[in-house]
Formats: sequence, C-alpha cells, structure tokens
Amino acid sequence: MTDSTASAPKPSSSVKLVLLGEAAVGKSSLVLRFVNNDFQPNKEPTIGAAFLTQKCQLPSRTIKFEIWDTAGQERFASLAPMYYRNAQSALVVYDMTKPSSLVKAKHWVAELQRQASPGIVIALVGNKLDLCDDDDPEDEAQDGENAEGHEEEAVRKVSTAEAKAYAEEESLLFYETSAKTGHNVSEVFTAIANAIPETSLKGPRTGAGGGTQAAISGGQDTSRVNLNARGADGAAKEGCAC
Amino acid sequence: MFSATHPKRTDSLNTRLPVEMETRHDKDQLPPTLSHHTEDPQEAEWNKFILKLVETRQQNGEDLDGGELIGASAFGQEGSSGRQKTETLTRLVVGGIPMKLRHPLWMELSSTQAMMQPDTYEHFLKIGEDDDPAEMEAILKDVPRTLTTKYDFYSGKGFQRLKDLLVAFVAKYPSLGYTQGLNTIAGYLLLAIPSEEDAFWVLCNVVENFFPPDYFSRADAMVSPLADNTLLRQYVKELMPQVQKHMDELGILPGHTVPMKWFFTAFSSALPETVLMRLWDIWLCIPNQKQYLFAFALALIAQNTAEILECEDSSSFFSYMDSKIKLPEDPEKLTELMKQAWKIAKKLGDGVAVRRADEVESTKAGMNLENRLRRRRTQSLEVLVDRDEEAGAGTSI
Repeated sequence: MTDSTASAPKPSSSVKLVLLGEAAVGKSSLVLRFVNNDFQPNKEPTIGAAFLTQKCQLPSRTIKFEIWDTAGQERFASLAPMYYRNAQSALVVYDMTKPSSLVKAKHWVAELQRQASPGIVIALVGNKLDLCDDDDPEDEAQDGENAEGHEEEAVRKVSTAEAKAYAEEESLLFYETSAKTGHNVSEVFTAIANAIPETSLKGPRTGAGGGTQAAISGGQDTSRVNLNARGADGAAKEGCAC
Repeated sequence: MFSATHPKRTDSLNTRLPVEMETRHDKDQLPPTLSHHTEDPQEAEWNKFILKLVETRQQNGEDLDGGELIGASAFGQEGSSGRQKTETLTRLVVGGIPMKLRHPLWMELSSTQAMMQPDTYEHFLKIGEDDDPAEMEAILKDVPRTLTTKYDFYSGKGFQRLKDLLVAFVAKYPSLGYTQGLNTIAGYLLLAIPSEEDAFWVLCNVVENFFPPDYFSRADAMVSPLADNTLLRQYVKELMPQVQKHMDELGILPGHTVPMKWFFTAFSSALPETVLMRLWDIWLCIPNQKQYLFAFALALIAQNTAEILECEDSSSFFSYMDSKIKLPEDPEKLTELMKQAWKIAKKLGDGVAVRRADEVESTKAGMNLENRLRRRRTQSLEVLVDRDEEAGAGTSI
C-alpha cells in the first residue's frame, strides 16, 4: 500500500503467493507464524480461502506478500484456480508425518506447473518438523520426544532425502519447517522473495490497470491468461536452501 | 415439553419465567455460552409475551405438555389477535432471542419439530460407524478444531457430541458427505441446542431447506456458493453502483466479491457469536426469510461502503473483507442493521431464487469452460488469448 517507512527508502513490490496442500498439514499455521509470529494448536480449518499480507525485507528491496491461504479439503479444490491465477509464487505444503499429504502436494505441483503462470516460483514445504524429533532424517522408526499432545506416535514418515530429491527434480525450493516452533518459516518466505525474478516485480499498486501483472488488477475476464509470462524460467532456481 | 423425545417436564411454567427455564444441558456438558448469565432487557419482553400466550392457551384448555412453546402455527387462524401476535413475535425475534429460549424457539419456528422422525437419529448414528473412512478421518480432524478461537469446548467435553452429530449427518446424506464448514455450523447449533438429537435435526433442516439447493453437493462442489457470490455482485451493481464501480476499478472479479466463508458457513466462520445468533434467529425463525443471509451480506456491504471505497488496491480490499469488516457493537445498532437487511430482503423478494438458478447454470458452464481452457493452455498460449476474448463474460470466476 505505502512505501516502507525505513529511513532509507527501498523499492517496494507486491508478490502474490498462494498456499496449497492437503487439509490439516499446517498451511494456515505457517501463515500465522509468518504474519503474526504466533501459533495456535487446533487452529480452525480454513473455509474457501483466507487473505493476509506481510512484508519481507530484503537487502535491496521490500517485498509485500499478498497471501491466499486456501482450504485443504478436496471439496474446495475446484476453487483453487481462483486463488493461484496469476500468483507469482506458491507454497505447496505437506505434513511430514503423513505420506499421503506428499502425494497430494505432488498433484498440486503438477497442476501449478500445468496451469498457473509460467515462471511461478514454487516452494515445497514439509511441515510439523517439531513432531519428528530425529537427528537422522533417514531413521523413520525413531520416536522422538513428542511435543504435541494430540498426535500420538506422530513420527516422520517422509524422509528429507525423498522430498528433497523430488523438489530438485521439479526445480522447487525445498524446506522442512515447524510452524509450531517457527523453525525455517521466515526462511521459506525470504527464499521465495529472493527467487522472484526482478523483471516480474512491480511497484506498489496504483489502481486499475496500472500493474504489469494481469493478476486481479485486470478487472476484465480476458485477463485470465497471464500476459506477464516473460519471467518464465527466469526464476533464480538456486536449488535447495535447506 | 420441547420435543417428543423428552416429554418429561415437571416444573410449571407459572413458577418460572420462560427465559429462566433450565435447558437440558448436563451441568458438566454446559457449553460456555450458557454458563454466564446476562441481564438482557429483551428477556423481560419475551417473558411477558410467552406467559401471556401460555395463559391464553391454558384458558382454552390446550394441553401444553409435549407441544410447542409459542404455538405460532395457530396464529394464522386467529384473525386480528393472531396478526398482532405474529407482529409481536416478529419484532421480538428481530430484537434477538435469549440464548436459553433458542432451543425451543428454533425447533418450533424453523419447523424442525415437524420434520423429526423418532429414533432415526440413533439409527443414523449406528450406521454412521460404517461411514467412508476418509470422511471419518476428516470429521475427527475437524471436531477438536471447531470454534477454537473462542472455546476449548469441542476439543474436550463437547468432542463426542459434535462428532456423533456429524457422523450421523454423513450417514443420512451420503451424497453430500462431510464438508469443512459444517463443523462450525453444527458447533454453533450445539451451543444453542443442548440436545444432540434436536441439533442434528436442525442441521438437517438447515441444509435441506434453508441453504440454497446443492450447496454441499459433492458432485457440483462449490458451484452454488460461487454462483451466490456472482449473483451478489449483480445486486451490488443494482443497489450500490458506486461500490460496484470501485470493485471493478480494483479488479475484483465477481467470484471474489465477498469471502467464500460468508455464505458457505451461513456466516458462522465470519461473525462473532452474538451477531451470528441474532442473524440465525431471523433466518430460522421468521417465515420466508431464507434469502435473509443474502440480504444481510448486502446490508453489511452497504454499511461498510465508506471503508470499501477507501480501499486503494485489491489487496486492501481483500484484507478488509476477510477480517476487518465493521460490525455494530451495541445491540440497538445491531438491530438497526438487522432491520436494514430485512428491508433489503423485502425488496429482493422471490427474485433471488430465480436469478440464482440461472447463475448456477452459467457458473457450471463457466467452470467447465475454464477447465477446458486450462487443459489447452499448455498447447498454445496465443490461441488461448483469442479464445479468452471470445469467451467473454461466460467465465465469471
């Protein structure tokens, strides 16, 4: 909305980000940690989608994330295109104690690669690291000290190596996080901010039609195709930062 | 006396004022809302009204046990005195029903009592054990995280009751299944209605008769709620052209007009409890107010016009609508808002249902077109741009 009030004004840009992933993997909790530095056990399920914003300070500029946090239940999947349309970045989340959620995450990645804006920066995020209190990520049987009261026997079921290999194959950023402890959460968003190609950044919105991003500023139905695809494959894919 | 399943009520209506009547909550099952007593001037009026009714009905030799608290269905045959009673009842409902009376009044005035089938709740509960495991998992996941921003109730004492209610619901409606959002609706119903079985039937009634058709359909998931949003935008255009113009300038597509949760959860994920209960009082208890939620959305937008017009970009608009929308705090101002929505509902009339049906069809077509276009997107971007221009307004999401 407004420029940063920091003493040395930095250029500021808006970046649209969408969160996707199976129900109850912790999408809203990651956002809550990033936006409010807070955690609520038993966070209420998201209906449709929630919208939040948060700024991310990079050395050279300020990125304002405009975040669509979508509902995870399969039922809501048909709405997802409304939210990932023209998104410059996506956070695809799985629960590392639940293998099926990685399968779902892979589906989302495939859908984004097929249907979202070309050049979209995608981060694959394995959440609930706090439940997997293991030093050796390959050791799946280890039942570490379980901090979460409700999840009995919740231990790692998706190894770091497996998810990382997949992320590398698909050129995704990859992080393992804990929304509960805050581990790696701001790192994910910072990495995304850094990976957005400079060319697809634009200044603060100035109203209708001012943006180069077709996004939701188009106002016409004809804006559904992102004409702003020039950043395609220009994203700085510096591999896994974990 | 409130339902056939609980015929025993020994305390006399004459010795206790209606709003002081005990609910059937077990003490250790008491939902938090009922545990703190509030002095409400509204309650005195309700007491007066109901006591008068009871007196008249007793004089007429009616057997009040096992019957309805108000007997509103008879008002129609009572000429001018019936009309007067209807008027008073309507005014009282618009002003808000005391929490303790919501159970009998929602049951009676929403005609839930009429649709109840004895013993079937137990039956659905039993066959619910064989619900699809995926549905069961989703229910078990959501029950402990229901209304948690307000209460710990459903992660603790209330867990079993809400779980049972949802399991029975899925057993009764296998073609609908469990949708996130039903937990919140049912969660609030159980706060107001301590009998699980009664709350179950109100939920069934609400889904079958109060929500627009196919709202929770598995096959056409989200079509109807999305159509509602698009339709709402058309009404914004007709009733508040300056707001519509501003939304257009900000690039807000019709499907994004208001947050999905507004209509999809009958506002239960969007409003504070006090406001929500007032809204549901009218929606459930006054005849022919099924469009009331729709009218309420328009009234909310109207009341927030200045703030909406101040939004400088889509981002501030979405933030505002998602979590910052302004609601009146004191009860009288809230009543004003309810009345404003009432006026709008009157103005909209039956047209909403007709226009909704059209909108559902075009939304369905739009979603199909979207899918086809997306499939082709990988083939040729240039072709798509042309097609998009041709497609025009057909794809409204």
